[in-house]
Amino acid sequence: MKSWLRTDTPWIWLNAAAVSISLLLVLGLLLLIAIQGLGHFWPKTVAEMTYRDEQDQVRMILGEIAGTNQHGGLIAGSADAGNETEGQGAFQYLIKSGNREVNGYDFHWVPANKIERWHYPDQATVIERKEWGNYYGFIESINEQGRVIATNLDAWPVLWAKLDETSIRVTKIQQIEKEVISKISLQLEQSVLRKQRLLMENTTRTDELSLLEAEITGLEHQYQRYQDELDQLYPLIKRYSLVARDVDEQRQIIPLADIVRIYQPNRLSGSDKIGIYGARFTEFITGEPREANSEGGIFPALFGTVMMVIVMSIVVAPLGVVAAIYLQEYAKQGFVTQLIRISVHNLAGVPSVVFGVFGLGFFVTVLGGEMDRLFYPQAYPVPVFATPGLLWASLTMAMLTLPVVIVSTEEGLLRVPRSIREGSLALGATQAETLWRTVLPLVSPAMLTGLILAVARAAGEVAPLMLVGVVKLAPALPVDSSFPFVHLERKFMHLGFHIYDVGFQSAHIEAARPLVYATALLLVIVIISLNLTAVCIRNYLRKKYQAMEE
Amino acid sequence: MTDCLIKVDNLSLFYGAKRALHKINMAIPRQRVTTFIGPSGCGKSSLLRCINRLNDLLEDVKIDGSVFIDTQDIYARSSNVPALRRRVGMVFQRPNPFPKSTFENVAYGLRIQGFNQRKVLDEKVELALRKAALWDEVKNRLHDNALNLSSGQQQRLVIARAIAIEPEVLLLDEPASALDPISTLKIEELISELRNQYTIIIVTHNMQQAARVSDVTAFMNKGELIEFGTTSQLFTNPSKKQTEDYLTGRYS
Repeated sequence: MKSWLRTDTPWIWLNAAAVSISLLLVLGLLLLIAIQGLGHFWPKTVAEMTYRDEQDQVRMILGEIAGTNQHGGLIAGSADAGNETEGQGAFQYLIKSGNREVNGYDFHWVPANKIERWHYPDQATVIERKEWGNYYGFIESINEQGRVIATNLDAWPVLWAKLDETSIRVTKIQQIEKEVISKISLQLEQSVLRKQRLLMENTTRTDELSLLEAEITGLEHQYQRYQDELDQLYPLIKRYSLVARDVDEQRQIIPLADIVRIYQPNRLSGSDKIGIYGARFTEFITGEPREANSEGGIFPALFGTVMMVIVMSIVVAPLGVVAAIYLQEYAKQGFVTQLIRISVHNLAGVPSVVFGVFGLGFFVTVLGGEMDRLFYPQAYPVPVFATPGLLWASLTMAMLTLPVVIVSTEEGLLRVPRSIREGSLALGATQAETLWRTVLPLVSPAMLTGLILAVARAAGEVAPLMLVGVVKLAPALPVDSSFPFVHLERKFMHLGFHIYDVGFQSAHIEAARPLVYATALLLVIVIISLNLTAVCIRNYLRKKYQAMEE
Repeated sequence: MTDCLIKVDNLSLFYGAKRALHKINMAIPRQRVTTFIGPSGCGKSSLLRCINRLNDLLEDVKIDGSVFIDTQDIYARSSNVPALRRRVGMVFQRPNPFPKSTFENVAYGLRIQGFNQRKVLDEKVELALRKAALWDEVKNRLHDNALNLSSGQQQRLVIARAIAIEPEVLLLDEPASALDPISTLKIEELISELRNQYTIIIVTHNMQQAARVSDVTAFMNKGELIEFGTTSQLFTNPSKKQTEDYLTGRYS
């Protein structure tokens, strides 16, 4: 034993164990969020249960089993001494029964030992709605303007047809609202601002002014025309509705325009389920959030995150590289340079929220205020840049990640062999030519390492962003089809903040929990894919400039 | 030794407080091969690097005295260092090709001087590679990475890179010390071929090499120039005891 301790073996085992534990932790984490997040989109079967509540009255419930709990006898259960055989307490089911407008809650706990009857009715239907969450019940009839046009058995073919008809119109309305009208109103706003500016300057260019006024009237006419078209379309989508009854025989009228998806989970075949899974997953990635972010998609958050990281990279990469070059190549290495270097390194340790406060105080108030005063005086008192937005969030993140880029670029510069520099200088190259033609290509893998670290850090950061531009729900993406196409002054959504918002700020936390996992998974995937891209480029560059490794 | 190209005038060099060269005076002849010999740390490489001002890059270097090339003081304030280095090419102890293709390595100095026309570059690169006796070995893989060449080939590539920009002077800092005997021989042959076109200065540890290739030899010790004269005279009939001891191996 003593001799065994003196060999290398225990040390190797210790190291290997540390690596395995780290690996297990990472894999376990990924697996947990993957299972919890991805399971959310699978259409679950719907159970109808008959049970006795605390007042010993018979009640019925219809819904999906969303979870189970070994409850410590806090609710019901404990009064029933006979059923305490299970040990710690009553086993409970968490049922997602939907119908929020009727029941008040989406979720109910049902103690297992109180359930008297339990089956999966074929006709049970799940209706995913744009508002009020899911509806669980049975379809009775399809109505056209209050008149029944199909009942029970005939209902489905009619339903599909009418759903298609309605969805075409809904799409049309959305297109007019989102693309045409918003574009016109943006143009209108810009024209009005231009007019105000002309008036402020007391211009003598009356022809220009009248031209603008004509433009404004034209736009107002257009706006009115599309508004009229919308007014005609709205009644059309309200034309059809369906009547459903819930498990307590209460009737409910649901307009078809409100329906996102409708299916009978207990009758679905495997391929149907996969189809629904795919549709729900696609909606999650590409759709917009509904119901205070607790339903629907997260595309704006995904887009905002990637956009913020890209703008940040554009700012931080050149700035960090140039600063590192100065520190390493040109500055005289002495006390002051060393002091600057230490300060830069320590900047990486400043809590991120401090950067957020700085961003708010400096970028938003000072820089943004100054920009508004110079370029947008006509908009006063409405702020354009003097308010949190994508540009300021990206700049704040660039500040936050600057040290990482500087440090890794400096390390890269240090690793370039002196013989390469001397070789270039001896051929009559100036120091700048040597840098550009020989040294920087060799350092490029190190720069990318810095950028990878910066991107990973920036994409996961939430706290500072809350101060400088991230919002719960952004009305428009920072990139769209109206000039100048990229709107850096806009507020944006972010996956990290979305997780916080859905997980902690939403009214239906139970409903939102799987979404939190799914969003977290997506965030991880986004960071991994951004990093993988950079790693691939880096490996390519390393191969190209392999002299570094000698 | 009447036609002198490089005149070293009372040159002293300090690394911080340490004196590496002490009042060196020397007249290096035009279009001859000059070798610097002497024990390790005697300052031969430092002296060599003074001729193209490569010592400027190091921190804490102080230089007194000066070096004239064609009566022009290269340490004058008005001196253009990159232009000087174009006149004075240098090859280092270990081959240091850039991680680029063979072609781009040779074209590097030309591109910096603003030659960008493909035809001109092709011509000049071929000429330089032929002069460096490398053309036949690399003509079919000009655009492969130069790091795939053998170290002997790399060293000849670096020489080609230096002569591509048509310098007047070539400084060779122990050019064959990292190479095998066959590659060394090729480098020596190359030096003999180049001697009529360039003023060549070689630092070497190899006495036979110095005797074989050079016209003029300088023996240095502890930062001082001990003896300077034609190779035949210095090797057969040294005037200083120190030189004789070193040449006969009694140096300690």
